[in-house]
Amino acid sequence: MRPILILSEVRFKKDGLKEKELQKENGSSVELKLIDSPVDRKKIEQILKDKPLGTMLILYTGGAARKRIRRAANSAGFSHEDVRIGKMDTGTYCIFCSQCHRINRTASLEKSIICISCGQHLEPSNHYSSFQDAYLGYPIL
Amino acid sequence: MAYTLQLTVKKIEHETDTIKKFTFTSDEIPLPPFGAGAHVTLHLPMGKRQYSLVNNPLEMKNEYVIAVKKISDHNGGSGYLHECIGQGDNISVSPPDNFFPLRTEAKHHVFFAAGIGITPFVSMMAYLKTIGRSFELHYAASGERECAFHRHIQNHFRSKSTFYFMKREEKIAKLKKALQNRTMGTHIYLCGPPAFMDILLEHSHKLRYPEKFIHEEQFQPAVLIENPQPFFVNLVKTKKTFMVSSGQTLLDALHEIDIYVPYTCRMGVCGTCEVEIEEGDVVHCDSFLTEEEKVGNMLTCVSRGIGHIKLRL
Repeated sequence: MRPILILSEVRFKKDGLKEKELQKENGSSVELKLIDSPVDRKKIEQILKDKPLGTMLILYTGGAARKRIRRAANSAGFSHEDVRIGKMDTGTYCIFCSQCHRINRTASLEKSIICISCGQHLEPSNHYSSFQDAYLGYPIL
Repeated sequence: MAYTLQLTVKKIEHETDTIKKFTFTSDEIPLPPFGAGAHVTLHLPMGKRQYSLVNNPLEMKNEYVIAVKKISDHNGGSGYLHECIGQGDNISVSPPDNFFPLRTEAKHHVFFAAGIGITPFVSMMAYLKTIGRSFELHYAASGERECAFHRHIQNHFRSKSTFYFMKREEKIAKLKKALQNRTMGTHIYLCGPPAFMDILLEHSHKLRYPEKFIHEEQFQPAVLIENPQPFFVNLVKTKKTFMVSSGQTLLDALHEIDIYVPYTCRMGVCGTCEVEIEEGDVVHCDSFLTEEEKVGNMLTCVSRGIGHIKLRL
């Protein structure tokens, strides 16, 4: 099993702790670090420095922090696939409009939405883009 | 079919008592460029032989340089090169291929070499030094006298190199120690005799390093069949039946009946010549397919059928 490092914003502490327990049950060595918002890049770099080869990073953070941490992680030698995003119940989901590229917010992935920018009728999919930090919304024609 | 270059032996130098360095060039054509870790295939009377290029790809002056350890008499590839090839001779060479590239995402490269396994790293280290990237070398040999490129490495990469000339047990213990406590961003490369590679691979598994961070150079199939048997093949789509003789590969037999299956490495490494199996048992000799993939697929360059097999071709 790969060593696991969980970075969780204080507001997602509950989710981070849950993940820690789950990974422990799977037999991994797990470290959970709680971080303040907004994320301090230098602090993150310090946390990520000299982690054992093979470490998997799991993030419980908001979108802005996630981007900063990803960048710091890449500089520390983590590849894209060494960083995973934990599943959190934030109450909102981001939907990427495939027509105008606007990111919309919605409370559910089950219901279709109207893009606030171009008015396109969108069906949220389970295709998540870590680059956009959003789910792809397919146009309903 | 892949083309070959007609090159001239420009220079032959003694690297050690058993290792010679050959420099090939051409006055007529510009030689194709190559990446660090690449090899060339020499077309010799006894067959094709692959050798790593040792020159710096960023300072290539229309030359390919290889180092060959003599491990056979003149009937074998290395013996033939040592005994029968001289300065000014011509030789057919396939353009460079690279199945052992440097990982560009790495922050630090760690090389483990034993014996003549040093060759790809000579090129890699020169390249990394030129572009200012971080690396280190751990190099095991039986002694300084037998250690190819010892002086070259001391002159150019002294502060980044550790030599292991001690007794076998001590050597293994120290190499294992050098493998430990590696951090994220490190990529590890192994090249040397199978026993050396197995020890370090096993230790890296013990250390729970994911395979994607460990890279090994292979110049032969993962499994060698000592006594290959002929087998029959049915192609279900083109409705052809033929026999693969004991001295032939399935890939060659397919090409013989004009079924063109693309290929590159011929060593079961790259996966280019993969075909789907319809029916029958196969001895898999590659290091490319996963156990699940082997259920319905095979690599025609190295793997063989047993008795009678059917392919979806």
